[in-house]
Amino acid sequence: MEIDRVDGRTENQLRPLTFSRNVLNRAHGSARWSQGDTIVLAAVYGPKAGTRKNENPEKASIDVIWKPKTGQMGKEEKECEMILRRTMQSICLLAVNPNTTTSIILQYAGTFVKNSVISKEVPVHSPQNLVIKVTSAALVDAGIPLKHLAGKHVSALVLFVLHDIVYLLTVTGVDAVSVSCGLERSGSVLLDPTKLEEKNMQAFTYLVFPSSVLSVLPEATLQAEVEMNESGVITSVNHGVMSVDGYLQCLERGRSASAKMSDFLRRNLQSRVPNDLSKAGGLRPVPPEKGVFPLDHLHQCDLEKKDYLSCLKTNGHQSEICRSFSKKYLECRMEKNLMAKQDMSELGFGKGNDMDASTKKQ
Amino acid sequence: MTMEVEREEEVVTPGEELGRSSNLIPGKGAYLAPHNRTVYASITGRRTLIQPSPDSPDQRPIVEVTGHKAHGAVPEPGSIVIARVTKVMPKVASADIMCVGTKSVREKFTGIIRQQDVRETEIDKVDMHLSFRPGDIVKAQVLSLGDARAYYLSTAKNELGVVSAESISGASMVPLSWTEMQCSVTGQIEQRKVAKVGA
Repeated sequence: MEIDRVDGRTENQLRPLTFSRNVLNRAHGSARWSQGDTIVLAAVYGPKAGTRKNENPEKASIDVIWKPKTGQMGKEEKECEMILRRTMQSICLLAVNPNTTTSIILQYAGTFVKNSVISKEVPVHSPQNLVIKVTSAALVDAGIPLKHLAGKHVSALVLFVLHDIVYLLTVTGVDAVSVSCGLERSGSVLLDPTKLEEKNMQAFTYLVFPSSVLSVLPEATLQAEVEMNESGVITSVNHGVMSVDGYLQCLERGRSASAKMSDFLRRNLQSRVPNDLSKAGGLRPVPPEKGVFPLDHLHQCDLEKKDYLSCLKTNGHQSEICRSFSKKYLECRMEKNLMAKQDMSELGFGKGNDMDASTKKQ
Repeated sequence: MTMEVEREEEVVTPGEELGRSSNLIPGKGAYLAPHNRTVYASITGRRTLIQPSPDSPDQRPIVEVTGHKAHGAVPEPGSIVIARVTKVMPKVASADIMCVGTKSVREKFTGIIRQQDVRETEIDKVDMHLSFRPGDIVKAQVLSLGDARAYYLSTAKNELGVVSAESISGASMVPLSWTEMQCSVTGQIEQRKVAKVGA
């Protein structure tokens, strides 16, 4: 049975994805994730000194602030903050930076439609589906160590029958990658539901899976490990009534649907790593071998310097023509103990090269 | 002790398997999962293998992931920090940590130097006001995470203590001895816990 969807998508079709990171200048890490009209921005600040109140100072702390586009923070945002914080605590390596707090600030920036019933702007799509994806991407951008790429965020819309009552179920698996799928009585799956499709739901679950195991090693990863990882669930938050079969079906559908999105995120992250890491702050720069070069505060070699600069000016900044002047300037600096004494041949003034300006002009 | 660095071309993302703990030692940007003794990447970046020196007892190479961007330096027990003294009290001096090792910090970290951690000998006779002054730049070692407010710092080594200070007249001072610094302009001598020069 075909289901007509408001935006014309097929049952298994996701909204177009876009992802970018390092989008904010002042944040230590940031990311922007959009699925269709739903856009979520994440900014990461930290690690900052001290942990939250009543938390273990031997471990790092995660602080989450969810900012709605309009109006005050409500129950939905508070719940989202709590789920996200707990999920991130299981994903981040908290032992690496003890007694510190990493702040994650999320901003929903999607398209809104006017709801005539409650005369309030409501989002076209639910931003919760995107939250963990964008958060883990921002954490990666900030260089915060993670256990996994925040597994797969799967949002599933499921219709199933329990004691002749039709229940609607949303499964939202929360991690780096997010898919929404729905299963109706005929068995057809509805991926990535809109807010309008979601509003009829009577039960839903947030699920977080660890990301699929990839190895850089030539030999294959042990099958037992893969199975353990694939069957694992990081977070599961249930709302409403659902059958065990429906829940298990959602788990199965969620895993298969999110694999492509997991690859999409990995590819995006890998493509943004620069080839030369020394320019990007990854490697320490090498200091100059010559060391310090003191300033001529007492203007002891001003005359030689002016001669050299005027020579450059008259000869169109062709340094080869003014080599004799630069040699005199360096000799002056050596005499006045403004630089280490060394053979001029070591500075490129060999006998063959030692031509004055007049010879060069001829 | 020289270490040979072997650079790999592949880019890894968090959670990617880098090898077994029997073959590799996890370095920066990698972690060891206790449940299966496997080393995984914890940041996005390029994988690097650092070969140990021939005389090293452990001949396993260190695997590191060099990211495009590292998070700001965070003080940890044992690390050497550079801090600016902000407040001196009879029992403690507080300082703002500016550098951890060779890296500057992004966020503000506060440290506390207690009276018993200023020097190794005669710790009960230490006068905090004759050891530090607000504005002094000190080299210290992180003792512990301390409480939620501050890290505990120590200057109880020859190479630790005040490395740069300004006199009352505002000029920079030069060290005379372990406990004295002299103003380069007025010649006035002031008391400090001086760090060993060149250490």
